[in-house]
Amino acid sequence: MSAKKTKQIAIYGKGGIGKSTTTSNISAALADAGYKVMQFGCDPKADSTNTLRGGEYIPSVLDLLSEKRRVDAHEAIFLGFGGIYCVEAGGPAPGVGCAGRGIITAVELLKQQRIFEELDLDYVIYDVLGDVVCGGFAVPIREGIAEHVFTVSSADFMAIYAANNLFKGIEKYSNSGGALLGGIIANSMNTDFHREIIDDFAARTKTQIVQYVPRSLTVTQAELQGKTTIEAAPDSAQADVYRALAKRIAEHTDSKVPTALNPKELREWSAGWADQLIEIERASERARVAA
Amino acid sequence: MVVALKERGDGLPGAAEQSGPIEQLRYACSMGAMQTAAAIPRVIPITHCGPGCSDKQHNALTAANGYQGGGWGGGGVAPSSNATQREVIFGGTDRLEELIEATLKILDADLFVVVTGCIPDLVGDDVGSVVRGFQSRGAPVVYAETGGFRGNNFTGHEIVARAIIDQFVGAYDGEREPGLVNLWSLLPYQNTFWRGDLGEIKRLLEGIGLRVNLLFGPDSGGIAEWKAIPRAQFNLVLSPWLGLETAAHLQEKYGQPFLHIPLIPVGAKAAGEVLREIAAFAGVSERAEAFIAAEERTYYTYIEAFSEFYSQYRWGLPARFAIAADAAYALALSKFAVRQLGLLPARLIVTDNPPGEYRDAIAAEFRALDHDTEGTVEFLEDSYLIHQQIRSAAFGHKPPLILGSTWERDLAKELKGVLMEIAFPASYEVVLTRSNVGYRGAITLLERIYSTTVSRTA
Amino acid sequence: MAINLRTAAVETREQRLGTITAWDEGTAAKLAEQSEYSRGCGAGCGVGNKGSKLCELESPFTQGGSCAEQVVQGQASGILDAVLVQHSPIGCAANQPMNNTNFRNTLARRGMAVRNSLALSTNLTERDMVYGGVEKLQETIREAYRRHNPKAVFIATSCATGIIGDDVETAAREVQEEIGIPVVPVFCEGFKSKHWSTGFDAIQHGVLRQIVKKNPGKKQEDLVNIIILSGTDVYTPMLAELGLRANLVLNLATIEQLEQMSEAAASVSFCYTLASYFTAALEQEFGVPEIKAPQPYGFAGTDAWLRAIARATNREEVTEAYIAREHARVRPIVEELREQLKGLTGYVAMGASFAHGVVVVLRELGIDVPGTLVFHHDPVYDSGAPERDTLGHLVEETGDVENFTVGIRQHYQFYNLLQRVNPDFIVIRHGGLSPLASRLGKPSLQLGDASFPLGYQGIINLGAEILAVLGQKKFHEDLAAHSSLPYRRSWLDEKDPFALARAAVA
Repeated sequence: MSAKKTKQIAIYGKGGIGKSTTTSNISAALADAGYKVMQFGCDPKADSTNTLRGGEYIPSVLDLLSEKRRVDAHEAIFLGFGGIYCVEAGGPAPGVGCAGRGIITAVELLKQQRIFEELDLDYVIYDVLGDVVCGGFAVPIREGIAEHVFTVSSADFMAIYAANNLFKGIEKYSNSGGALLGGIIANSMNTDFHREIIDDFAARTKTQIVQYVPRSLTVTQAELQGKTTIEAAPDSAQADVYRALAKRIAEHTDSKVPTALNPKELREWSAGWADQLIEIERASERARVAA
Repeated sequence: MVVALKERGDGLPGAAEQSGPIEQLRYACSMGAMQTAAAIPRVIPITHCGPGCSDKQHNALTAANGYQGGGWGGGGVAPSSNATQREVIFGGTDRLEELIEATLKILDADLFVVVTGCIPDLVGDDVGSVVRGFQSRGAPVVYAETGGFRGNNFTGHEIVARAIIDQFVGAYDGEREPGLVNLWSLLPYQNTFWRGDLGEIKRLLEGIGLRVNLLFGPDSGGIAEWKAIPRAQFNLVLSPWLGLETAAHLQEKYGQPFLHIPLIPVGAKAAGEVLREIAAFAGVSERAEAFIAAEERTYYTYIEAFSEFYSQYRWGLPARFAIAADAAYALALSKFAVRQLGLLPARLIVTDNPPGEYRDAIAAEFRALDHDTEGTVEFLEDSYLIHQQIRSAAFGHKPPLILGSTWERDLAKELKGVLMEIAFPASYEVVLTRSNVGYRGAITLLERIYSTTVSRTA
Repeated sequence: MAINLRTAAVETREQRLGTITAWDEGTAAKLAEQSEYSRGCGAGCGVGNKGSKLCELESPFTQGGSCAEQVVQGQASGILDAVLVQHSPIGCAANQPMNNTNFRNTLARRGMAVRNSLALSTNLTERDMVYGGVEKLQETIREAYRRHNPKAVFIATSCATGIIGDDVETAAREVQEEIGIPVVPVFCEGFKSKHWSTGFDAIQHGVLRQIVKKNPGKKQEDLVNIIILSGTDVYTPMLAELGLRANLVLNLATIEQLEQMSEAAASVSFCYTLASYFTAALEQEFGVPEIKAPQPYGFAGTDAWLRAIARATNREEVTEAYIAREHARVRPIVEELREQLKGLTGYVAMGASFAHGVVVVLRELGIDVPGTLVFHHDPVYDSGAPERDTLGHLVEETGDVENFTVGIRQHYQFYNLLQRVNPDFIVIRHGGLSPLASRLGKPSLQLGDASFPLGYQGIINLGAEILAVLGQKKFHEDLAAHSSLPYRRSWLDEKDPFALARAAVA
């Protein structure tokens, strides 16, 4: 067994924010750079790794568990683009069972079977559905799993609420050796105004923006082919953005405890921005009318 | 401005709402009410829970507690879904459906009662929809959500009773039968002596001219009695609090009145008073007087004989007692000890965690132990605290009498006292029909207290 | 696969060993053949291979069993100077009274002062299910420490805390730092394993991780770890004959005894179901050799067991002398017993490896054993040592068992199983099945004392006990004539205890 330490990273984000897209592109960029990577999807939808495997769904750890009395974790590991090991925790159908417990079980299974050591991984990247609604979803940020957490957020208030919730989770576990925050991956950044909002949020919560990722048609086109941007359009500007992001994450060492906003602060903060937003829209309306 | 429909209370949670650690427990969890179902002749509980839940609850209640035996359809007979990872993560309703289906093929019972444990209640299994499917096919199955975190087996007992009433007994708009009474009293299996006690209570009620839906135990007529619940003239809640919720529900559902008497009578004094009160309510006073007179003749003949021992025994009888038991037994036995045995209370502890709204009334009952004796009751469930309280009580220079459970064995040795195991868990007792209530039970109780006392130094 | 002590939660038995809980395809030899040992594979096949030939039945109808937490509770609260904290709603602690009965009686049996066992429940309620129970857990650990001043605190987790995802590991470590004694989380959620014996592994895992001395200063060449269950101490006198000292664990052991397990010369047990994990891990992690021999039942088994201990501790000569003395003492008595027990048929129902041993003893006594029910089956034990193939040993030494069944203590199946063989008596260890036998007029011999049938003296013990139990027949026959079973006629007429399971896959 090699002496190297596997770097474990968790990427959280509200459903639909582009978290899986971002994660898969980071994995792909790291794999391209020659690292051994595992991407571990922690979302009951089990579609985190689709674009690493030509849009194909893979059986999840929990699928196996529901069929067999005994699970060999290897049976839930599939090779994807660039030799990335793809794993999906999976989970129950909506409205039944306990998805959180499912994540605990899946993570525990791989740990007990010493898969990370066996595969001699450089990176394990957990792609986690991100509202931290119960204990199970917080498993990747507890001690002994991921060391660094990044959150994917747009400037949309609901996405920021989810990020703030995650920060609360990190604050809680930070006293007990849990993961710390690496920063925010600012997604769908198309206007300066978006940047201002997310920058302000980062400043207020004492964290940093790791990378601004613009919304891009290239990403959509790649996804339609079931591919990451790194794979489908390696020479595109967007691919450069993802490579830069991957590099920053690879080089990242010092994570911090964020300062989550309390409900009142968050409300006031978003109200302040909402006023500005309305003001800007009015201004542009006036400008249109004047024109 | 946001206006709530109801203002939030600003007081601290009361003692009843707090729940600290418990050492050496004195009840089972809500799902322990599987034995409430099993206490009804030819009724079988189906436990939807983890693999060890059923075993733990029934072992505690039926084995380590008087070695009563789990009953015909309880204990190890009860089907259990034995939930695994699969049922936790993906939900357990399919498994429950499969289990009920198979149960109906294998077991032959008048009624099946599905009780749930923590797992289905946490992962949100829709147990109701599964069971309603069977009900619509005419299968005799009801369900009660009794996940262990919801409370203890006292709470679970009322949930199960209500489930049977609402889902099996059903609507009724016929006549009521004068003289027929539904009895809600001791908690089956939890109370080590419930079978004998319910039998004696039935004998007393029949003695004053009533007919009884006893509902539980070998002297009950099983589900026919449950079906007859709405026909009864009234509900008798013979306990400090357990059964009140059920009686209130029946009042609402069937317009049926209830009589609440907190004191389960032990000994002639209490029996006479309680029977007279019931008789007056039911309108059977005349017959009651004749019965009471006859019972007292026998009772006092024995007491007279006993007095030769009581008044002349030279080697020390206890003068003060401590009791730690559920509210029903704590009250019943304390009153008997004070009023008929001439003992003084040193420590009175109620261990069944009565809901907060009943506690003042229970405390008032204890304050009025006798016209000249006031008792102060404490509500404790943690045996470590209970033992501290008993240890610090003033027993005078006589050997303390401790009415408690097996947990008090070491304490009784330490205090050089006399221990009577009258509460859960009574693991050094084998109990079948023995009773401590009414006229006959009181004599048995007295025999046991003093047999234990005289053999203390044997 | 090697034992992995790095994760806080133990890997379940079905994962490690391929354990099954239902099998009914015929003879003991067939099950032995389908298991790992007969394929000469030993350990190291890797997950997914072990036990792969075994086909497990799954019945839609099941009755209550037991769980890993229940086992952990019994084991942890039996450690004399430790306190158990059950992190659970109150129902998990409902086993305390039964447990306490075992504890008190075992203390008496071992000649120790009788007292109550120590366990606190965190008593989780609905509120804690929603908001998490970690604070309550930490407060309860502190309270356990204040009240009893223990040398260690064990925490048993529960289904409920497993589902809500309480971070018990961190909670334990924080309080450990605060109070300065080991606080050992034992992950034993009942739903995680189908068989309760995973509970043995879970508590042993915790003890190995946090109690056993990591760097033993000295080796104690005359100390032998003996993994026991509650029972008489037959070991100390037996080992004294060989000039050895017995370190009896975990039952009624002290923390000090557990710490010094890594200093011992060898580890051994009477029951490999129980000791599989412990002895293999002690060898792997601490270099304490596991005694690789059959279990000590009957003459041949006991001979081989003692000789293996002798080899490991260099005491061959005294051991041979002891064996010879014991044979001379015991053989004539066994001959007499065989005479008295002639023509009897027995049925064994208990935990897997213990059952394998008890069948051997019954056959040593000349009793016909045409059927056996084991509550689970491990196709292999953790070390994979072929000498420990208890089922293989049974078949090789005493012949096949015609009706060998794996079934997880199911009351309804026990009826059909007994119809198959119609025994004169039943030897059993767990609660739950004897009452059914009783209603059929069959007396049961309860092996409450786990030490009872083992070694040379065990053959005599069991023989004498059978004679005593046969006397109870009158009680059971009288009952049989006056009681009914809750099963439908169609089930009582069913010949196949697994009819429902087989129908489900057909």
